[in-house]
Amino acid sequence: MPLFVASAAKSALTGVRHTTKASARTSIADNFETGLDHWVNVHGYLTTTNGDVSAPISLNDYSAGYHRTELLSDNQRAKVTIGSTSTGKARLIICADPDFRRYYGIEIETGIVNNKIHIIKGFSPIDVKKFNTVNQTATTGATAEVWMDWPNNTVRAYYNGSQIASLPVPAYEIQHGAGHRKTGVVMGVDWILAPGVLFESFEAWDV
Amino acid sequence: MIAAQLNLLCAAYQNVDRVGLATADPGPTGANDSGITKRTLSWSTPAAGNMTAVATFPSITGIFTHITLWDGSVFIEAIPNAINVAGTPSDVTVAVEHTVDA
Repeated sequence: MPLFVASAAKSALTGVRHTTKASARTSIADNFETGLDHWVNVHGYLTTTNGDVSAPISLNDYSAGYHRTELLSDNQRAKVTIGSTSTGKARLIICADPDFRRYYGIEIETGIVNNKIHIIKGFSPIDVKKFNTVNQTATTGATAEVWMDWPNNTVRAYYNGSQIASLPVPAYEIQHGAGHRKTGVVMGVDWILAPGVLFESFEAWDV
Repeated sequence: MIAAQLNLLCAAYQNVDRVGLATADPGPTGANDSGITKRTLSWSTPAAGNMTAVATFPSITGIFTHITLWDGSVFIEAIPNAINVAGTPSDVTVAVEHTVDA
Protein backbone atom coordinates (compact mmCIF):
# COMPACT_ATOMS: atom_id res chain seq x y z
CA MET A 1 0.00 0.00 0.00
CA PRO A 2 1.68 3.29 -1.06
CA LEU A 3 1.97 5.98 1.54
CA PHE A 4 1.13 9.53 0.42
CA VAL A 5 2.68 12.31 2.41
CA ALA A 6 1.51 15.91 1.96
CA SER A 7 4.22 18.25 0.74
CA ALA A 8 5.60 20.49 3.38
CA ALA A 9 7.99 22.40 1.13
CA LYS A 10 7.79 26.19 1.13
CA SER A 11 7.41 28.16 -2.13
CA ALA A 12 8.01 31.74 -3.14
CA LEU A 13 6.64 34.02 -5.81
CA THR A 14 8.70 36.37 -7.90
CA GLY A 15 7.20 39.84 -7.97
CA VAL A 16 8.11 42.00 -10.95
CA ARG A 17 6.91 45.57 -11.32
CA HIS A 18 6.89 47.59 -14.53
CA THR A 19 6.67 51.37 -14.23
CA THR A 20 6.36 53.86 -17.06
CA LYS A 21 6.78 57.60 -16.50
CA ALA A 22 6.63 60.49 -18.92
CA SER A 23 7.56 64.13 -18.56
CA ALA A 24 7.50 67.04 -20.97
CA ARG A 25 9.48 70.20 -21.51
CA THR A 26 8.85 73.23 -23.67
CA SER A 27 10.14 76.72 -24.33
CA ILE A 28 8.84 80.20 -25.08
CA ALA A 29 10.46 82.83 -27.25
CA ASP A 30 8.78 86.17 -27.91
CA ASN A 31 10.31 89.34 -29.31
CA PHE A 32 6.96 91.13 -29.34
CA GLU A 33 7.13 91.69 -33.11
CA THR A 34 3.54 90.53 -33.46
CA GLY A 35 2.34 92.47 -30.46
CA LEU A 36 1.11 90.82 -27.29
CA ASP A 37 -1.49 88.39 -28.62
CA HIS A 38 0.10 85.61 -26.62
CA TRP A 39 0.00 87.41 -23.30
CA VAL A 40 -2.63 87.50 -20.59
CA ASN A 41 -2.93 90.63 -18.47
CA VAL A 42 -3.10 90.24 -14.71
CA HIS A 43 -3.13 93.96 -13.86
CA GLY A 44 -3.50 96.91 -16.21
CA TYR A 45 -2.53 95.96 -19.70
CA LEU A 46 0.83 95.35 -21.27
CA THR A 47 1.63 97.14 -24.48
CA THR A 48 4.65 97.68 -26.69
CA THR A 49 6.67 100.86 -27.02
CA ASN A 50 9.04 100.92 -29.98
CA GLY A 51 9.01 97.11 -29.97
CA ASP A 52 9.64 96.73 -26.24
CA VAL A 53 7.08 95.39 -23.81
CA SER A 54 5.91 98.15 -21.51
CA ALA A 55 3.15 99.46 -19.33
CA PRO A 56 1.13 102.11 -21.19
CA ILE A 57 2.42 105.63 -20.63
CA SER A 58 -1.10 106.98 -20.40
CA LEU A 59 -1.91 104.86 -17.35
CA ASN A 60 1.02 106.02 -15.22
CA ASP A 61 0.56 102.70 -13.46
CA TYR A 62 2.17 99.29 -13.54
CA SER A 63 1.03 96.46 -15.78
CA ALA A 64 1.51 92.75 -15.18
CA GLY A 65 0.93 89.75 -17.38
CA TYR A 66 2.05 86.25 -18.26
CA HIS A 67 2.69 84.36 -21.46
CA ARG A 68 -0.15 82.06 -22.48
CA THR A 69 2.16 79.09 -22.88
CA GLU A 70 2.68 77.57 -19.47
CA LEU A 71 5.96 75.81 -18.83
CA LEU A 72 5.74 72.10 -18.09
CA SER A 73 8.02 71.66 -15.12
CA ASP A 74 8.94 73.43 -11.90
CA ASN A 75 12.60 73.58 -12.92
CA GLN A 76 12.13 76.66 -15.03
CA ARG A 77 14.15 79.60 -16.22
CA ALA A 78 13.25 82.90 -17.90
CA LYS A 79 15.38 85.50 -19.66
CA VAL A 80 14.79 88.99 -20.98
CA THR A 81 16.87 91.21 -23.20
CA ILE A 82 16.80 94.76 -21.95
CA GLY A 83 15.55 97.36 -24.39
CA SER A 84 15.25 101.04 -23.56
CA THR A 85 16.25 102.16 -20.08
CA SER A 86 14.96 104.88 -17.79
CA THR A 87 14.50 105.41 -14.09
CA GLY A 88 12.19 102.87 -12.53
CA LYS A 89 11.68 99.16 -11.95
CA ALA A 90 10.62 96.16 -13.98
CA ARG A 91 10.25 92.53 -12.96
CA LEU A 92 10.67 89.11 -14.53
CA ILE A 93 8.43 86.44 -13.01
CA ILE A 94 8.55 82.63 -12.86
CA CYS A 95 6.61 79.89 -11.03
CA ALA A 96 3.52 82.08 -10.89
CA ASP A 97 -0.14 81.28 -10.50
CA PRO A 98 -2.58 82.99 -12.90
CA ASP A 99 -3.32 85.77 -10.41
CA PHE A 100 0.32 86.41 -9.49
CA ARG A 101 -0.44 85.71 -5.84
CA ARG A 102 2.76 83.74 -5.30
CA TYR A 103 5.85 83.60 -7.48
CA TYR A 104 9.60 84.10 -7.66
CA GLY A 105 11.47 86.49 -9.90
CA ILE A 106 13.92 89.33 -10.19
CA GLU A 107 13.47 93.08 -10.13
CA ILE A 108 15.65 95.31 -12.26
CA GLU A 109 15.92 98.73 -10.67
CA THR A 110 17.43 101.68 -12.49
CA GLY A 111 17.94 105.24 -11.32
CA ILE A 112 20.33 108.06 -10.69
CA VAL A 113 21.53 106.45 -7.47
CA ASN A 114 20.05 102.96 -7.32
CA ASN A 115 21.01 100.53 -10.05
CA LYS A 116 20.31 97.11 -8.67
CA ILE A 117 18.94 93.66 -9.29
CA HIS A 118 16.93 91.99 -6.54
CA ILE A 119 15.67 88.46 -6.18
CA ILE A 120 12.01 88.74 -5.27
CA LYS A 121 9.25 86.69 -3.72
CA GLY A 122 5.85 87.87 -4.89
CA PHE A 123 2.62 88.08 -2.90
CA SER A 124 0.45 89.95 -5.40
CA PRO A 125 1.02 91.43 -8.86
CA ILE A 126 2.76 94.37 -7.14
CA ASP A 127 3.69 93.30 -3.59
CA VAL A 128 7.08 91.63 -3.23
CA LYS A 129 9.82 91.03 -0.74
CA LYS A 130 13.34 91.62 -1.99
CA PHE A 131 16.39 89.50 -1.21
CA ASN A 132 20.10 89.36 -1.95
CA THR A 133 20.29 92.67 -3.76
CA VAL A 134 23.33 93.31 -5.92
CA ASN A 135 24.51 96.53 -7.51
CA GLN A 136 24.12 96.15 -11.25
CA THR A 137 23.52 98.82 -13.86
CA ALA A 138 21.20 97.52 -16.57
CA THR A 139 22.12 98.54 -20.08
CA THR A 140 20.36 98.17 -23.40
CA GLY A 141 21.12 94.84 -25.04
CA ALA A 142 22.09 93.10 -21.82
CA THR A 143 20.25 89.99 -20.63
CA ALA A 144 18.80 89.26 -17.22
CA GLU A 145 17.63 85.80 -16.12
CA VAL A 146 16.00 84.07 -13.23
CA TRP A 147 16.09 80.31 -12.66
CA MET A 148 14.13 78.26 -10.16
CA ASP A 149 16.81 75.64 -9.68
CA TRP A 150 14.35 72.99 -8.63
CA PRO A 151 16.77 70.18 -7.72
CA ASN A 152 18.59 72.54 -5.34
CA ASN A 153 15.60 74.62 -4.13
CA THR A 154 17.41 77.80 -5.09
CA VAL A 155 16.36 80.90 -7.01
CA ARG A 156 19.25 82.16 -9.09
CA ALA A 157 19.69 85.54 -10.81
CA TYR A 158 21.89 86.15 -13.83
CA TYR A 159 23.10 89.19 -15.71
CA ASN A 160 24.63 88.71 -19.13
CA GLY A 161 24.79 84.98 -18.45
CA SER A 162 26.73 85.17 -15.20
CA GLN A 163 25.15 84.34 -11.87
CA ILE A 164 25.04 87.43 -9.67
CA ALA A 165 22.86 86.23 -6.78
CA SER A 166 21.17 83.15 -5.41
CA LEU A 167 18.57 82.51 -2.74
CA PRO A 168 17.83 79.11 -1.19
CA VAL A 169 14.09 78.72 -0.71
CA PRO A 170 12.12 76.16 1.30
CA ALA A 171 10.73 73.33 -0.77
CA TYR A 172 7.11 74.07 -1.60
CA GLU A 173 7.29 77.51 0.00
CA ILE A 174 4.97 78.45 -2.84
CA GLN A 175 2.67 76.08 -4.63
CA HIS A 176 4.16 74.40 -7.68
CA GLY A 177 2.80 72.08 -10.32
CA ALA A 178 0.48 72.59 -13.27
CA GLY A 179 -1.32 75.92 -13.01
CA HIS A 180 1.56 77.43 -11.08
CA ARG A 181 4.12 77.52 -13.85
CA LYS A 182 3.31 80.86 -15.47
CA THR A 183 6.13 83.11 -16.55
CA GLY A 184 5.69 86.80 -17.18
CA VAL A 185 6.62 90.38 -16.48
CA VAL A 186 5.59 93.34 -14.38
CA MET A 187 6.38 96.64 -16.09
CA GLY A 188 6.29 100.20 -14.80
CA VAL A 189 6.66 99.28 -11.13
CA ASP A 190 6.62 102.36 -8.87
CA TRP A 191 6.09 104.54 -11.95
CA ILE A 192 6.85 108.14 -11.01
CA LEU A 193 8.62 109.90 -13.84
CA ALA A 194 9.50 107.00 -16.11
CA PRO A 195 8.62 103.32 -16.49
CA GLY A 196 12.07 101.87 -15.85
CA VAL A 197 13.72 99.38 -18.15
CA LEU A 198 11.69 97.84 -20.95
CA PHE A 199 12.24 94.37 -22.38
CA GLU A 200 12.84 93.85 -26.09
CA SER A 201 12.54 90.06 -25.92
CA PHE A 202 11.37 87.35 -23.55
CA GLU A 203 12.33 83.70 -23.32
CA ALA A 204 11.43 80.95 -20.87
CA TRP A 205 12.09 77.25 -20.84
CA ASP A 206 12.01 74.08 -18.82
CA VAL A 207 15.56 73.31 -17.75
CA MET B 1 16.50 39.10 -9.66
CA ILE B 2 19.71 39.64 -11.53
CA ALA B 3 20.15 42.78 -13.65
CA ALA B 4 20.36 40.84 -16.88
CA GLN B 5 16.88 39.45 -16.36
CA LEU B 6 15.52 42.86 -15.38
CA ASN B 7 17.01 44.29 -18.55
CA LEU B 8 15.44 41.52 -20.62
CA LEU B 9 12.03 42.24 -19.14
CA CYS B 10 12.55 45.97 -19.61
CA ALA B 11 13.47 45.51 -23.27
CA ALA B 12 10.17 43.73 -23.82
CA TYR B 13 8.54 47.17 -23.60
CA GLN B 14 10.44 48.37 -26.65
CA ASN B 15 7.51 47.37 -28.81
CA VAL B 16 6.19 50.74 -27.65
CA ASP B 17 7.64 52.78 -30.44
CA ARG B 18 5.53 55.91 -30.78
CA VAL B 19 4.33 58.72 -28.53
CA GLY B 20 1.31 60.93 -29.05
CA LEU B 21 -0.71 63.64 -27.32
CA ALA B 22 -4.36 63.45 -26.32
CA THR B 23 -6.74 66.31 -25.62
CA ALA B 24 -8.78 64.36 -23.04
CA ASP B 25 -8.65 61.02 -21.26
CA PRO B 26 -7.80 58.40 -23.93
CA GLY B 27 -9.53 55.68 -21.92
CA PRO B 28 -8.61 52.09 -22.83
CA THR B 29 -8.68 52.69 -26.58
CA GLY B 30 -6.48 55.72 -27.21
CA ALA B 31 -9.43 58.02 -27.88
CA ASN B 32 -9.21 61.82 -28.00
CA ASP B 33 -6.01 61.79 -29.99
CA SER B 34 -4.85 65.31 -30.80
CA GLY B 35 -4.22 64.50 -34.44
CA ILE B 36 -0.67 65.76 -34.12
CA THR B 37 1.70 63.36 -35.83
CA LYS B 38 2.99 60.81 -33.37
CA ARG B 39 6.73 60.78 -32.88
CA THR B 40 9.04 57.78 -32.92
CA LEU B 41 10.59 56.58 -29.69
CA SER B 42 14.14 55.26 -29.76
CA TRP B 43 14.89 53.54 -26.48
CA SER B 44 18.23 53.49 -24.75
CA THR B 45 19.78 50.12 -23.98
CA PRO B 46 18.28 48.87 -20.71
CA ALA B 47 20.58 49.16 -17.71
CA ALA B 48 19.67 48.08 -14.19
CA GLY B 49 16.16 47.52 -15.45
CA ASN B 50 15.73 51.07 -16.73
CA MET B 51 15.57 52.61 -20.18
CA THR B 52 14.55 56.00 -21.58
CA ALA B 53 13.42 57.52 -24.83
CA VAL B 54 12.99 61.13 -25.90
CA ALA B 55 10.89 62.58 -28.69
CA THR B 56 10.14 66.13 -29.77
CA PHE B 57 6.92 67.50 -31.20
CA PRO B 58 8.14 70.43 -33.28
CA SER B 59 6.34 73.73 -33.23
CA ILE B 60 2.94 72.76 -31.86
CA THR B 61 0.14 74.62 -30.14
CA GLY B 62 -2.77 73.36 -28.08
CA ILE B 63 -3.86 72.09 -24.71
CA PHE B 64 -3.27 68.42 -23.99
CA THR B 65 -4.09 66.26 -21.00
CA HIS B 66 -2.28 62.99 -21.64
CA ILE B 67 0.84 61.58 -23.23
CA THR B 68 -0.08 58.42 -25.13
CA LEU B 69 2.14 55.45 -25.94
CA TRP B 70 1.64 53.23 -28.96
CA ASP B 71 2.92 50.05 -30.58
CA GLY B 72 2.57 51.16 -34.17
CA SER B 73 -1.13 51.93 -34.44
CA VAL B 74 -2.04 49.92 -31.32
CA PHE B 75 -2.72 51.96 -28.20
CA ILE B 76 -0.78 50.71 -25.19
CA GLU B 77 -1.24 53.20 -22.36
CA ALA B 78 -1.60 56.85 -21.42
CA ILE B 79 0.07 58.97 -18.79
CA PRO B 80 -1.69 62.10 -17.48
CA ASN B 81 0.40 65.20 -18.11
CA ALA B 82 -1.08 68.68 -18.51
CA ILE B 83 0.55 70.44 -21.44
CA ASN B 84 -0.56 73.96 -22.31
CA VAL B 85 1.08 75.46 -25.37
CA ALA B 86 -1.53 78.07 -26.11
CA GLY B 87 0.66 80.86 -27.37
CA THR B 88 3.27 80.89 -30.08
CA PRO B 89 4.01 77.44 -31.52
CA SER B 90 6.64 75.79 -29.40
CA ASP B 91 8.64 72.58 -29.43
CA VAL B 92 7.50 70.11 -26.80
CA THR B 93 9.98 67.43 -25.82
CA VAL B 94 8.64 64.32 -24.11
CA ALA B 95 10.88 62.02 -22.09
CA VAL B 96 9.59 58.51 -21.38
CA GLU B 97 11.17 56.23 -18.80
CA HIS B 98 10.38 52.56 -18.29
CA THR B 99 11.62 50.69 -15.23
CA VAL B 100 11.39 47.08 -14.15
CA ASP B 101 12.22 46.09 -10.62
CA ALA B 102 11.69 43.04 -8.50
